[in-house]
Amino acid sequence: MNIAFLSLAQTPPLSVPMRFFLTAPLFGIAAGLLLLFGGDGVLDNRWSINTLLVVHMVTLGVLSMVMIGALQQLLPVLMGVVIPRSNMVSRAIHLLWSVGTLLLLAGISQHLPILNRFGVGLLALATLLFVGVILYALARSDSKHGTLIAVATAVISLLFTLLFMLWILNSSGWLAPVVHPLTNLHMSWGLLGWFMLLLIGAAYQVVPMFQITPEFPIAVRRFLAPLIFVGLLLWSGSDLLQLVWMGWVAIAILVSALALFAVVLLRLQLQRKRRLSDVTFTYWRVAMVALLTSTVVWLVGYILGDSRWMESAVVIFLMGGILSAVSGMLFKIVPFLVWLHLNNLYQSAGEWQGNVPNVRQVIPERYSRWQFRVQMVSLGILVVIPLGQFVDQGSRYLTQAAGIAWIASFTMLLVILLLARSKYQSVARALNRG
Amino acid sequence: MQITDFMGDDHRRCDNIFATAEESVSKGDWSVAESSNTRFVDAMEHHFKMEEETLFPRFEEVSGHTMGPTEVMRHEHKQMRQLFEQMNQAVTGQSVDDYLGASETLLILMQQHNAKEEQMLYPMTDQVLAGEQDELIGKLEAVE
Ligand code: HEM
Repeated sequence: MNIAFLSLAQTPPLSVPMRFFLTAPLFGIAAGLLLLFGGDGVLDNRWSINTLLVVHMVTLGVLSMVMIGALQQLLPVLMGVVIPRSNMVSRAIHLLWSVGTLLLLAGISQHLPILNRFGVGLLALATLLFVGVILYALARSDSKHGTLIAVATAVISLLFTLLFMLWILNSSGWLAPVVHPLTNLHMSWGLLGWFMLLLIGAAYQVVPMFQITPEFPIAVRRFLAPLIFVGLLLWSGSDLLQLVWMGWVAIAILVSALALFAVVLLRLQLQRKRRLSDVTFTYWRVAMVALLTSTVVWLVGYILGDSRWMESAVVIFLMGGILSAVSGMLFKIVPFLVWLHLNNLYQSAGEWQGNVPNVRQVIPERYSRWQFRVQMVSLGILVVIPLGQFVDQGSRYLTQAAGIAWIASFTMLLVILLLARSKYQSVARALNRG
Repeated sequence: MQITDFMGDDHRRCDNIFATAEESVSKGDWSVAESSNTRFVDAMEHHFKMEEETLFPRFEEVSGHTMGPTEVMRHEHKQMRQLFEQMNQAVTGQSVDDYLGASETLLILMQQHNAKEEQMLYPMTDQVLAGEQDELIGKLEAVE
């Protein structure tokens, strides 16, 4: 039995997740700038350099960045496991991941294989360290909750995402875009494995907790994540072995699993006891609707054999589904962590109460509401970009508008997070002086 | 019956009262708010009492851990009591913002606390106290 599990020291320092959370909006702003100034066709052609850059600013720089930080924070709290040397590990992963991403982006944009090699090398080191630490921690957890298997399959999927990319780049002289058939596997493991499974694992815990809904059905908690993982394995098998029937089985599994998850979650939300809605709740509802929409859009594209639909599906999935859920989580996690750490500071100084600001004083609801609105505008513009082709210069203007909206929404996110951190610092300083 | 189920059900009961209290405050319905807030705090104090006076001591006795998980749970009870205090004051002062700020903070603290208990501490208790669960639940039911 693992008794050390609930010691107070298990809450990693605030800086452990914060350094990731504060870096993420910077990559979001960069992506917005690229949309705004990238010229024609930033998102017109799947295989353009700029598309590849925007995709990885978002997937590596924003979404993975937040998720890697959040997991290091949440795992100790929810799974009762301590990450050894959490601060050092977090620093190392953050540095490797950020610099690796920057080098990769530079390598892609400048056509420099050497930068790609270094970038991917650093990302690979970061991934190994991160996945290793998470799996080590999970193996020692006493929890039997479905979140455990979801998180484990998610981080293994991140490994697969990387491995397929190593394979592709190694066989193509480290230049990208390659337009390689295996890229579909790379992105499937990234989107449906790493992102989706982690989202599912988080949802099992946070949806019942914060909205006071019934638990996810036990069968869902037990089987959904493994099912998606098997679906991805079959999907890869069908691609590598050229087995068409296996591909159909995989698609049937993945599409129904995703749709099932979204429907179950929306249903739970309808049964919620807590009627008060907050930004996190609204963000998650948007995320589920986007998830359902992207599944349908992807399926239509697949059946029609029209890749434009499938590309739209990816955009809706990433920016409507994953980004919404991630933003919703940030607005829940960050103010609470600030409160918790301040509270612990006061207590170790031997004082109860004190002037600790509550979660709504750390991040006022009206700030996050505004950020939400702007982010929804950017999502709306992004979704209609494909329609721009019917108007002269339409897609160009729409892409630029989306760029402006991205810059605005990620800047707002950054400012809100910085305000939260400065609130922490000023109260902590006052305590030290006092 | 398992301790996990018994105590988990009591968490659900507290959660439901919490939701009612929060909702009536957000509507500015202070007479309802006052009584549901009191009901909520009472339900929580009752739950803490079952743990602090009956469940935890027995667990500590049998498992031999006095400074382990139960200590952390007690500490979090204290943190929650602080927030009850703020919620009570907000009801007295009829301040919606103060109440909802404190209650939302409490919700997060309480839920991660409950999750740790339901997913780890209670199952451990069931394991350590296998065989005497019915007797113990009888004692818990008798707690005023
Ligand atoms: C771990 C480090 C990663 C590296 C080195 C990397 C690199 C690359 C490269 C070089 C391509 C272009 C392949 C080609 O032209 O055929 C690509 C495509 C793609 N990657 Fe990654 N990637 C990484 C992680 C991720 C992650 C975590 C995701 C998240 C979902 C992701 C999503 C995608 C998508 C969606 C595409 C297709 C882009 C398009 O069709 O325009 N990648 N990646």
